[in-house]
Amino acid sequence: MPTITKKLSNSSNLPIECWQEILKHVPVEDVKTLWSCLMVNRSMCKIVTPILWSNPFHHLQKGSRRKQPSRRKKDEEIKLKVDQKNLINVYISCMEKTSIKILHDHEIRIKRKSHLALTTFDYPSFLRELRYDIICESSSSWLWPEQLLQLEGMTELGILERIREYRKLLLTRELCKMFIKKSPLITTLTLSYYVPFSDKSFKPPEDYFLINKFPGANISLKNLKRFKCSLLIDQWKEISKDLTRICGKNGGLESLELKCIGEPSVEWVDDKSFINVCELIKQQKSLQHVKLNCCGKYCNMAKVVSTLSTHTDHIKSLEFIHLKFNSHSHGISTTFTNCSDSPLHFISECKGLNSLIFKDCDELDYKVFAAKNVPWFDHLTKLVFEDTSISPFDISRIISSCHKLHELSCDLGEDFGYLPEFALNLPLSLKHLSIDAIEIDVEILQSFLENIKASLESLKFPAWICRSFTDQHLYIICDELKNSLKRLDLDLMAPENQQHGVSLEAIQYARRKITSVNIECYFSYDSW
Amino acid sequence: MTGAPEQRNVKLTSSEGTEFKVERDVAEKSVLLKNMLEDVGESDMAIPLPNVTGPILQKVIEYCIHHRDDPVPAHDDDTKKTDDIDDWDAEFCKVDQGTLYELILASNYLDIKPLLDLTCKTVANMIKGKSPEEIRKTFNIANDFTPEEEEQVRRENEWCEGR
Repeated sequence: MPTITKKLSNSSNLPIECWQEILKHVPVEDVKTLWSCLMVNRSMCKIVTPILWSNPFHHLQKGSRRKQPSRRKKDEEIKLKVDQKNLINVYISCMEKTSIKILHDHEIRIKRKSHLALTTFDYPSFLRELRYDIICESSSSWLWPEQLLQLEGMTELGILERIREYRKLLLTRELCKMFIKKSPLITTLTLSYYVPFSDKSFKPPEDYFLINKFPGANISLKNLKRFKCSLLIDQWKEISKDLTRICGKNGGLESLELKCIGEPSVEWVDDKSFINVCELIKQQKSLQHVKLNCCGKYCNMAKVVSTLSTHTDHIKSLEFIHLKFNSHSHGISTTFTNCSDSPLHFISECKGLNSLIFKDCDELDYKVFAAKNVPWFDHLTKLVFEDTSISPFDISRIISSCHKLHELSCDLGEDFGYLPEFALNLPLSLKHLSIDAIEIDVEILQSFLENIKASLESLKFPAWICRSFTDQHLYIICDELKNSLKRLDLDLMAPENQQHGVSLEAIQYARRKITSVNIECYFSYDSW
Repeated sequence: MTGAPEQRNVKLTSSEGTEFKVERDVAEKSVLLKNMLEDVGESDMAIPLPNVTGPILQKVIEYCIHHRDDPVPAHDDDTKKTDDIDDWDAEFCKVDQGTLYELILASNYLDIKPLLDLTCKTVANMIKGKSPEEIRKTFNIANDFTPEEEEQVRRENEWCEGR
């Protein structure tokens, strides 16, 4: 290591610990300022480097760069790839010889530039957030294009893509190996990778995805705070077992997001992995945020819900997507399935729950929410019921007890005639409302808006409901809500909603009355 | 009717020997003083603060009096924002750079986290958006990199330059 790390000295009037304190207040996203601080002098460089290198890949994702009006989209893309290559070059300079040899053996050419032979700092040791998907993206850019030119002769369909994919995964694996070995503290781990080939003939490198298996994982992952994964059935087995062991007793996980993916007709999480995940949840001290996404109806993941009852003191946010809540009652029998008659029963005991989200969930039992004066009503600020089996009448009864509700999103389906009465139960605290239904006529809209007593700041009509919109609808919204509304979102541009009857003039009228009118709120597909 | 029970005053002595009398709850905004007072118990002895000058101690006391009823801040607050300074605090920080530095040092020494956060945020706001040379000028910092070191650090961090 060059002398800079030893010679660092303070040359301003403040001691180094005060500058450390000051620079904690520069937001991590403000890369421009952090880069400037880095270049000021040795002391600042030493303080800022760990901040900037805690998750450098985060700054190199598509859309992460500040907009440069003068630069074309194509130039932006090239700049991003060049920056990603530069970052990977520095990391490769920190790689062990064994990894370099593995890359060489697979014809990945590394130009060891002399000036990068010895880096100023051991940069991989600063990594705190390991996100497999975005490291893959940077690896891909590093391989582009000169590493692939040699393959141009291969014209057979798919071969080029497969070699490219294999090399990307190999480089990513060696980078992750280095991070796990050198970083003493990974606080955020995100694992997701989709094999881009539909046939099974593509064989990825061995253990390419099993971060938990790399030497050093016992130390680097021991104090994990956020874990997010999107896994196939064969990936669950190894990952859930190791993570349960590593982050086991008195685990410090605060956020857990699990998504299972697979073929529609087969089980997505095996029984053993399900038990591991349950153990992982039970062994945490203060789990605050949980998101479960099954991407299907019949899945072991729904049974995991029951174990959340051990965290009612800490949970602040819950999100369930594509779950069928009675699936806990059939399938395997374990000690985790007998805690109550409903897996969601624990919600009524959550003392500090402030966000509750259900999307595409079946067999939601209203009784879970029906009890009066339960703790979770007192703190709830965000509630989402989108495409669930719970009726608008029941949603209405629930929200009438949530006196601090700030944000509500729900779907009334065919019960659009109930909207005016629904509005009567909206709490006064409400600021942001998103409403969908199969249609809405002007009379119902008028009554609905008249009955809202809260001062709404934003109103959204996503997807279906916009098909029935006319100019008259817009005029009514403007007249009724012009005093409080700051933002109106209408999904008018989606191809499937083109039957609406809203003219450009009406949109321009709305834009004169309301600060922000957005007509391109595409249905946001939740890939997690 | 009497209000709250009368508090005993605490005597503090600045580096020049100037004595300040403050109410105990004001003094206890400083974790250092709070621990000292708990350890010593009832005493009329002045607490010497050799690292804090009179004018700075006066400012610190002014801050502690204004914030005497604020709740104790949470320890693990990760969300450090630089844009949430209220009007009184912003006015309080309108001082020359030397005084601001001394307030940082004093709040660090006396362990008054909200004042340390406020003064550090104020300096962080002065850094925002500036070039390395502008930061050096603003804070009178010398560039002690050798040309080779500076070039190497620049090259290794090229990935984030201009982002």
